[in-house]
Amino acid sequence: MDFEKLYKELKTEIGSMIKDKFGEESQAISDEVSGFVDDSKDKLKRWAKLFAEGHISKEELNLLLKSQKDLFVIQSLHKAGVSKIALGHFKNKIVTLIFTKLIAFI
Amino acid sequence: MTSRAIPVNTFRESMFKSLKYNILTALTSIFVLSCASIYDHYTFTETLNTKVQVERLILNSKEPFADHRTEVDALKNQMQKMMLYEQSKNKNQITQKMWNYMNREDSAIQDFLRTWEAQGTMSEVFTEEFSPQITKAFDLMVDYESKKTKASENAILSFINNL
Repeated sequence: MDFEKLYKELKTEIGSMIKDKFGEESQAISDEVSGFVDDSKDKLKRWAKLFAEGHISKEELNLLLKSQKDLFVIQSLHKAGVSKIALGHFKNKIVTLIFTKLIAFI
Repeated sequence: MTSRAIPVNTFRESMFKSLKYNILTALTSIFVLSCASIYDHYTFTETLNTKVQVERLILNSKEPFADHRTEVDALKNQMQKMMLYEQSKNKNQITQKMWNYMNREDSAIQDFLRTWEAQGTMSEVFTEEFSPQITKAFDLMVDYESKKTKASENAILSFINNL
């Protein structure tokens, strides 16, 4: 199996799918998905080999791919959540500053 | 009965104290309500427990599904319970989304349980590859909950110190 050829085709097809589906916003989404596909490369290569050699079934390969997708979603949620916490922390600092100034003024 | 006049300065001080108290109460309420997400120790420990349950089941999936039906049901209940528990909390969208996502019908975990039941057993190679994928997802959920601690508790402490 020529994995590099398969991987290149996969990336091109994913890129076209994103362009068709998301139009103007496609660049940002494309960058994120491209990063995900690149990060997954080693795993995809290993799983494809395990399937080709008969160590895992087609259903098991599908489950592994699904688990990578789920991991990507949870990672994205985690990233968004951590940014939100940082923003909340900053807001709280502002409330504390207003409070301190106000009390000193009174 | 004798009536004594309250000195003007004492009256002013008492008025300011009352005003200060009202402002303080109002700001405390605003502060508490504005906190993004509050750390929940129950969520933290139960997410860890769920991770251990899932990990054990994945490794046991080399054995016949029928031998582990009780643990599978326990895991399904645990995941359902966590999703409902997180949905009951306000300002908790990210954690809710995480649990909703893990609980959906075609998630990797739910699909794994169905495939295990259908196949009877899973291959050893598969369990070794699948386990770190799922435990990583739970590690992120645990980490997210623990980050809430630092942000919220530090902010609350710094606020209280300024009182």
